[in-house]
Parts: sequence; C-alpha cells; structure tokens
Amino acid sequence: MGKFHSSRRQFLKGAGVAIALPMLESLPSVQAAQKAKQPVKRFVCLSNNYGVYQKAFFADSSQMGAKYDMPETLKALEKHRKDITLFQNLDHGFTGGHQGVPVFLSGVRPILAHNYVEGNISLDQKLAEHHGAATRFPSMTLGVRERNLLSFTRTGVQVPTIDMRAAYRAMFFEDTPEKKVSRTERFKRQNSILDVVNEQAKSLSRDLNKQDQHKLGEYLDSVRTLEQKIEQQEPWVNRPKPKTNVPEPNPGNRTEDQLKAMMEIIALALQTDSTRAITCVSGFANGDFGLNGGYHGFSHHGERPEPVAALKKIESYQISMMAYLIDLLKAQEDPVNGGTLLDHTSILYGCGMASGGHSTRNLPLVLAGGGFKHGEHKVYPGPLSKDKKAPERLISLQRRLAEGVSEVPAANLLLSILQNCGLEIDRFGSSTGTLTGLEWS
Amino acid sequence: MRLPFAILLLSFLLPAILRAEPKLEQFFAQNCVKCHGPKQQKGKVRLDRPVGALFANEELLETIAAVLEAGEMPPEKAPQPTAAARADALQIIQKHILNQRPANPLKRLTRAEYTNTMRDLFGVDFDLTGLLPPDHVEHGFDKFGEAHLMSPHQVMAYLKTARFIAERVLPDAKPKTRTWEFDARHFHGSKNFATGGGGDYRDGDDYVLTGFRPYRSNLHFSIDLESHDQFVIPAFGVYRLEVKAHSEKSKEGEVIGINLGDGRHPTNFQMIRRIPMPHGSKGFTTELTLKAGDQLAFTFDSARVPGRSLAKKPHNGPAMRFSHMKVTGPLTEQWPTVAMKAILPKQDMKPTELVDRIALLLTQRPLTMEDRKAFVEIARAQEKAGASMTTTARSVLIALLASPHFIYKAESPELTDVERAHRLSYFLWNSAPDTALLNAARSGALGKDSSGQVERMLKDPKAGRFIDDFTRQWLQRDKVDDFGPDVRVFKNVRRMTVDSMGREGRELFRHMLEKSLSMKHFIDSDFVMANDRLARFYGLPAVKGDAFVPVKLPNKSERGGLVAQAGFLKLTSTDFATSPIHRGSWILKNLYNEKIEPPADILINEPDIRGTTTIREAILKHQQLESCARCHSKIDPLGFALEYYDPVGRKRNEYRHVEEVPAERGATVFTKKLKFTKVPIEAAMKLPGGREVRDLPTLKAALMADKERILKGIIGKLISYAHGREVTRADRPYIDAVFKSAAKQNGSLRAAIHAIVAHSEFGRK
Repeated sequence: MGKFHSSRRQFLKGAGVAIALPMLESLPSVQAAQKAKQPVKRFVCLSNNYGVYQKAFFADSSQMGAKYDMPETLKALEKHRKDITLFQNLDHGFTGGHQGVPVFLSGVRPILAHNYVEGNISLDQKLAEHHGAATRFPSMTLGVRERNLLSFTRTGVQVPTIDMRAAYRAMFFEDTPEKKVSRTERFKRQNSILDVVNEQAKSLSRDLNKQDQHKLGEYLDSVRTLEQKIEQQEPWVNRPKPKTNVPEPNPGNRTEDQLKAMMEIIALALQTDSTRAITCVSGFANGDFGLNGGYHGFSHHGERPEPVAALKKIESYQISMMAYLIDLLKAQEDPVNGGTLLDHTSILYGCGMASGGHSTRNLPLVLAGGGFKHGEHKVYPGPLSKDKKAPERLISLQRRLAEGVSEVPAANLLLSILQNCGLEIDRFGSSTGTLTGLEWS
Repeated sequence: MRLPFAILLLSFLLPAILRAEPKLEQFFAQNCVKCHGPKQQKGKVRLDRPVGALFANEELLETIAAVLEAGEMPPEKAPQPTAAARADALQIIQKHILNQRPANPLKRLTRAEYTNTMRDLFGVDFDLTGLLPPDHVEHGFDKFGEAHLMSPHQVMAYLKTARFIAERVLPDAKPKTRTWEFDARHFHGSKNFATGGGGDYRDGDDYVLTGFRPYRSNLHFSIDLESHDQFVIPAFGVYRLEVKAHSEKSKEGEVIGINLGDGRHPTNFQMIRRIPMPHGSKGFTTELTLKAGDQLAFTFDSARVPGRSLAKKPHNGPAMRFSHMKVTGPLTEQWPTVAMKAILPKQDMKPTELVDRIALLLTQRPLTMEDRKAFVEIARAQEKAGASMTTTARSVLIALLASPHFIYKAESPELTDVERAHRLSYFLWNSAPDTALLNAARSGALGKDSSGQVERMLKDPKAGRFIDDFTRQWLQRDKVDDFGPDVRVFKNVRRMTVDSMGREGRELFRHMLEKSLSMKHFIDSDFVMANDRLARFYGLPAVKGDAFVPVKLPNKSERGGLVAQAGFLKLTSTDFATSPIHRGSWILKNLYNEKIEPPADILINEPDIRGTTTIREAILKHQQLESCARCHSKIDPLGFALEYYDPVGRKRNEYRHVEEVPAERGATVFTKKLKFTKVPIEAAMKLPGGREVRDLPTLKAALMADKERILKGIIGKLISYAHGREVTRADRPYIDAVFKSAAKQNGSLRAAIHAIVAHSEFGRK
C-alpha cells in the first residue's frame, strides 16, 4: 500500500499537478480493485453529431489486418498505428438518419427502449453505475460547441451536457464553505424525506395484496438505493478537491482551441481520477478553420468539392485531437493501476449516424487504448461488400428479409469494451455477443 | 351477498373443472401434442402436461383459446377435431379463464396525471416534462401498472419535482410583476450562427421570418439593443405575451410557433405552443407558465419553405413580420394565491392540522394516525428550528408529494367510494377528482347511479384531457411526424398539414363524443373532421380557419373512418415508403384490440418497398413459413389493401421508384436529380375467411362486416385505459354488456363510456 501511495504522489508531481490528496486507501474502489487484482478501467468517447465523409475515413476494405494504408482523414493516427483498431461494417441495424446519433452508445433507439431490460442506457452510464461512488463524478458528458446527445440513464433520461469551463470548475474549484454546508444540508434533507417515505411505504404495504406489495417493493428498493447513492456522494462534498497548476482554460473563440483544451481537461480528469466515464461531442462554428458555412450544411455535401473539403478538414482535426489525447495518456503513468493511463483507458471515436447523407450503415469507428490488442483493420461481413455485381439495394433487402440483418451489431463492440472494463455481463443493448476478433489481455 | 355467491359458484364449477380435466387432456393429446409435445415444441409450446399446470399459465391459456376459437389451430393441413369437440374444449378453457380475475398491479401517477393533478389542486399550469421521466408504454398505454417501474432515478425525480412545486406554490414573498417591451431593434435572427441561418432579416420597423426551420429562421430578442444576450425569464410564474405580427403575401391563416431555447442554438428548441393567426390578424396575446432561466424564440411554423440564406436572392413567398412585443410577468391575479389559501388558510396552524390538511388535499383521504406521525415530525422539527409557517408547510408538502400515498393509486379488491371516484376522475379528466365528485362518491350516489357525474364530467372542459390523452395513445397520434416526409419526393406536404393530420383522430373522437354518434364512424363515415389545411389536402370544399369542423364527403371520396385518415396512413410509413405490415398490424392491434407481438427473437427491419413488385412476393414469403403465417395471413391483406395510399396518405395509382441520379457538376453550380420509375400496384389479397380486399373501399366494407368485433375492440381499449390494465378473455362479459348497452343507443360512443362506468366491474380492482 505504502509504495503504491508514494508512487501516486510522485506521478502527480511529475505531471505538474500538485494535489492535496485525500487518503488514497479510503477510496473504496481502489481497495476493491486491489482485492480483485483487476485494473480499474476507463472509457472516453469522442464523437460528433453528423457522421463522417466516408470515402476519406475508411481504409480499403480489401486491406484487412495489420497492413493497411492509413485513410486520409485518419492520417494523424499514423504514429499510433499499433495502438488503434479500425472497423468496417459495424452498425446498429437501424435507419433514421439523425435519430441514429443518440443510439451510438447503446444500440437501442429511445422509442424501442422499453423492449430492453436496461432500456437504452448508454455505455458511459453503464460504466458509471459500475464504478459508483469511487470517483467524485460518476460520468462527464461534455460538448464543444455542440450538444452531447450520447448519454442516457437506464430510465431513458438524457444526461445534460456541460461545457469545458463547468467541467474544470467542478473538478478543481473548491466550493465555498456556505455552499458545502448547503449541499450537505440538501443531502440531509433528502435523506430525511426518504426515511419518512420509506416508513410510509412499509405501512402502506400491509394493506396490499401480494402483487401490489411487490410493486411497492420496487419503490422501497429504489428509495434505499437512492439513499445509498446520496450517502456515497455525501463524503465527496467535504473531501478536498485535487489542485492543479494547469490554469482554467480560456474558452477562446475558435472550436480548434476549445477542442484542444478539452482534450487536456479530459486527460486531467483521468489523471486525478475525478471520473472514469467521459463522452465528448465536438461541433463547429462558422469561421472555424477559415471555413464559411455550417456543419450540418457541409455534411449534406452531395460530393461537391467545397463542402467535402470542409468536412475532411473538420474531421481530420477531430481525429488529430484523438491522437493528441492518446499522446497525453501515453505519457502519463496511471495513478491507480500503474502502467500508462492509455493502457487502462479505451478511447472510441465514432458516430451513430454514419454520414451526412443520413446513412446509418457502416458506422465510423476507431478504438484506441484500453489494453485491447490493436494494430489491425477489421472488416466484418457486410451485405454490400459481398455481391458487388448485383444491384445493391435488392441484395441488401433480400438478405435482410431472409436472415434478418446480416451485419454484425456495433453493440457487440460496446459489450467488448464493457467486459474489458471489468463488467461481468454477456449482453448490452442490442448486442448478440462480444465482437469476434477483438481481444484484450 | 357477493362472497357467499362466489363460494356457491365455485362449488359448482370446481367439480366441473376437475371432471373436465381428462376431457381437455384427451383433446390436447389427440389434436395438438404431435407438434406441441415431447417430439416437437413448435412455437415453444408443450401441451402434454397436466391441465392444472397449463391452467397456471394464463397467457398461454389465452393464446390456446384464441387459436382454437379462430380455427387457426390445428393448422389447415392437419386433421381437424369435430366442431363439437372443439367447442367443448373451448368452453372448458373459457370457464376457467372467467374464474380468474385479470391481474391489475399497483399503478402510480403517470407524468400527465401528475401534471394535471398539480394544475387542478394548485392552479399551477406547468409542463413537468423536464422534471419527471417519461412513462413506459405497455400494450399501447402508459397507464398500466405492470409498466410502472420504479428506480432510484425516478424517486430522485419525484424529490426534485416536489421541491420545485413546493417552492413555486408556496413562495416566501409576492413576486414583483414587471413589463418589458421589445421592437425590431431588439429582435435577432439565425444569421451568422453555426447552424446555418440567414433566412430572416430586419426590414425597417419589422423583423421578418421566411422559413420554418429554426436554424434557418427564428426570432429571439434581447434587452440591450444589438446585443445577442437573449432575454431570460427572471422568475417562475405566468407571463403574458402581447405580440404585434402579421403575415405578408399570404392568402390564408398562418401559424406562429413559440419555443423554449437559445435562438443561437436552435437545434435544442422545444416547441411549447402554436398560435394560429387567422388571415388578416395583426397579432396575438397569450399566457405561458415559465420558469427562471427560460428563453423564448418564435418560429414561422406554417412557412412554405424550410428557409435559406437570403444573401444572394430575396425571398418572395409568404413571410411573417414581427414589429413589437410586450412581456408582462410574473402575473399574480390574487395574493395570497389559490394554492396558498388552500394549503395555509391561516398562519398559526398546528403541525397535526397542517399535515392533515395537505394530506387530504393531495390524496383526498385522511392519513392513518400511524402514517401521520412521521410527517408531523417534519413539521415539528421545522417549527422548533424557528422556520416560518410557509417554510414548514413547504417541507411537509415535499415529503407528502414524494410519499407513496400520493404517487401510487392503491385500489382495494372492491373499490371504496373514494377509490372509485379516483378511477373515474383519472379516466375522464386524467386528473384528481373535484369536490363535487368526491361528495357524490362519499354519499354513495356515485356507486348507485354514475350517469349524472359522467355527464357532468364529459361536459367539463377537463374532459378534453381524456380525449387528447386517450386518442394520442390509442391512435398513436404523436407518431405521425416521427418520420418527416422525404421533401424531395413529397414537395407539397407542409409541416402544418402534418400537424393537422395528427389532430384529426382526436377531433373525430371529440365530435363523436359530443354528438353521441355511433362508434361505427371509426370504421367508415360520410364526413371527416377537417380544418383549412386538411380540407385542402383531402381536396374537399374549403374550410376556413385552423379549427376542425365536420365536412360532408363528396360521393366519390374514399375518405371517412380511421383507416382513411392521412395521419394513420403516414404514421405507419417511413419517410419515403409505405409499410403494409405496419398498417395491417395497426388495424389488428388498435381496432380489433388483438394482441400481436413481433417475434422477440427476430430483429425486424421495415422492408424497403420502393419499386419492384417482387417485394410483395418477398413479403408474402413469410406467409408460407408456418410460424409467421398465423399472424401474417391476417396482417398482410389489411395492409396491402391500403397500398393505393402513399406514405403521406395521398391517393396514388402506382409506386414511384425514386433514384438519385449522380449529380452533374458545373463550375460552381451543383444540381441534384431524382429519377422516378413507375411500377404498378398489386393490392388484392384474400383475408383468412376468404373475402378479397383490393383497395380502401373494399377494405372498409370488410371491416364494416366485422363491425361487432371492432366495436368491441374499441370498447376494450377504453376499458384498458380506464382500468390501467390489459383486457383479457375474462373481460368478455363486461365488454359484451357495454356493447349491448351502447347498441341500444345506436352504438353511441358516449353511451359506451356511460356503460363502462355503470358496470359493476368498474368498481372492482
């Protein structure tokens, strides 16, 4: 333990972050992880709301395996080739254009959520539940000049987006003593109300038949679980926040600057173990990259050279920021597990709408880090890749009718990531199993 | 009386069932076990079990009865039992089913019920959409207890909602009413923002909107001239908006949308109200309940075009001009407010008094001494800490709003008078009962003769909530615009026309209810309910204004009835293609009230039926697969008969196969081209009974021939909604009685509702 503790301090010094640490041993998750000898894993999703220009994003589908030419948009990832995996022909099997965006991290459309045991809970929220109170923030839902539509709780509620400033302040700005008191009081108040209603439910339950008692039992369980959650949150109010000498980022005017600063914030959040589940969506404002127009307008490019060039520019930048985040995480020692942060952090780039033309087939997906065996371009069977001679629509339709969707569900990748993160589950969203061919150590 | 009778009945039936068991087992062994036995378990069903075990599985029993009755099993090719044997077996099963009460698990308030209840108790007309999670929908309705799951998140939402309401209902001080005025100088549009824009402009003293897409054209406003910091609502309350606006280059009524959201990021807009602007209107006044931090923006919802940047070419079509706006609020009609007077009639209430008062107000029932204790503790603690009366009342209110007494609608096996009033009130008002109804219930009058109260309630404007909520869920009206039509193909279908489609079903229901018309009008009728836009869309004589009126159909028109409504035809289609399967199953589920579920283990993709007729063959293929055929032989003919209506509900004579032709590229000009290929429609198909349906008129004739079943199906839907549970075969006597009673009054919808409430089953859990 002692050794562990000191190495964490050393790391933080090395990272230029001076932190008044709470006693590390008191963090329950660390103890649990130590006991189980399982590393603590994290997940970062980088996304946008408009898909990608597919022709520049995907590698040649005949170049499977380790030898592939890095596609134009992904050039910035060339130096991390051994730490990334590219996928083709994974999708969620739905149509519906923009409605695919909020489906990305669950594979379940919100309107169909009632067909699934856990509704349309998104990967990051599932992971947040898994880690519970181990970190100050169970998850972070970030957005740069764009609304983050990715995160859903198991009851189908969308988690609201916070911007960079709010994230930084929440992580590092100490609350005023008054605010701490009022927070503590709010927790107390909520707990006292919960105590009361809990008692009520018990007495009410006596007059009910068995079935109704069972229904009321769900309420009782929920109240108890909520009490526990509040209890878990409560100590964080008075635990000192980590201190950093990285100054509060200036939002700046350009999306370029903001996104870069956001990557640094994400790295900082992971270094300080403030959270273990992050989603971040980036957008575009008129004038960025010297471009004139709107992101949505560009995405409906119709192969015109101008908007296509604009899209490539925007997407290449997003990818270069993924590469930057990989750089940052590779350079940092993991404070909890040892090794580098990248070893225990999966970074997924992608979008639930494949392209601006509202296609939801063949989602853009790049995975990095997390201890997966990387380095390959994986091409899964797709209805369009097999029979190139036949008219495309007819083949896809007949096959779909004959055997359901032939594509491998993208939710299989989500399940693999969750299992990799230590969750003992064999189903997630619309998955049919883990993703074949994607292994981790 | 009831109990001894039940025992008597049981003592007769029990031996009968026991005696019948070998008979039924024999029937299964002879006719069913070959496919549903040890060797094969088709459909995962096994019937070589003791009948007792089979009887325990209610769902299976329902299915067995249904397939036996419809003659679907044993399948055609297999040897058939005699009619007498079949009838005997069916009777044994039916008898057993009748003896079991359908399960009706504990229900909680839905979000709509909660919202309406708050409105009626405290006069706070506020949309709680952002606070309470949406309700799960089971078998078409959100009112079913089985779907009312509870989670920590939900409980947290109750706590937060309770706090939100308590702070608004019991404020510490009277809010100060203020007035703000804005003119064109304060107005801003979508120009120069990330999302596109440029479809709005300032023109002299006016600000002009041209398109309906918010990111192309919207109007928001700031206090500082020229600054883009949008005006923010300072405190919770009712605000009056007085807006001067008029349309130009338009010959008809237009619609303005009021949205919540930041005009600079209009993708997050939440439309909260639509204001019809009759032709020649100079503006409007409306009141909205808003909360601190809300921002308002206007859109031109009836615009003809999505909107585009006007930098190069000016807009020539209809536009909406805004010149002035006055915002006043928060308005307080009286102080103390209605809610404050109801909760705190005097300032020196004892803790017990306070708790009893609020509990009675919220649940219409006194708390038991034991339950009361904890709430009194809360009040005492506050008192001790020196809190004001208002603060104390707030704490008690929050605790009670989050307590199961309020959230759950507990029902005794035989409903008590107050429980009966609750059921009736949440049925016809979607809200808590009022004093008159409670008094009628407590005096026992409601249980004896409900007709007076039902009449009173249906005449009350609050009945509009039932009409809206029931038809929204039954007819899935809220799904009409799930897929915006592909605008490249359906150029003339405008957003307000689609909006009108979504209202048609509700207005038909309202009209039939108000005029006590026969429910057969749901199947076919010689009139439709239409407003200006819908009448034009249907090609009917012109109607003036946004309000719906009955319009008599010309002789040759095929419209009339639910299946001819554009809303239904559209919601069962995607943005470019119709789906016969979706349409057929909609008819079975919502008119026949049949239970058909898509197979759970198969991922169903809507087939893409653009173009080729081979698609019909492809779809028909699964009629040949035995496992699919049981349902699809019923579904497909109903759906294919409607193929002469396109995805937006217009008549068509052939399919139009749409292809995008590779674009031609000039130097800077880019033109998208679509290629249309025509393919003939082949719609004729035989229903399982052998009757052929080939188009809408023949389909409606076939449905009319099935009138009794469909009307009973609709009655079943009403009962489901009222009781908050699915109807089963055990409800047949109930449904039959309601049907008979309504039939005496020409099948009137109003009579059916009266009969439902008057039936003894309405008073049972």
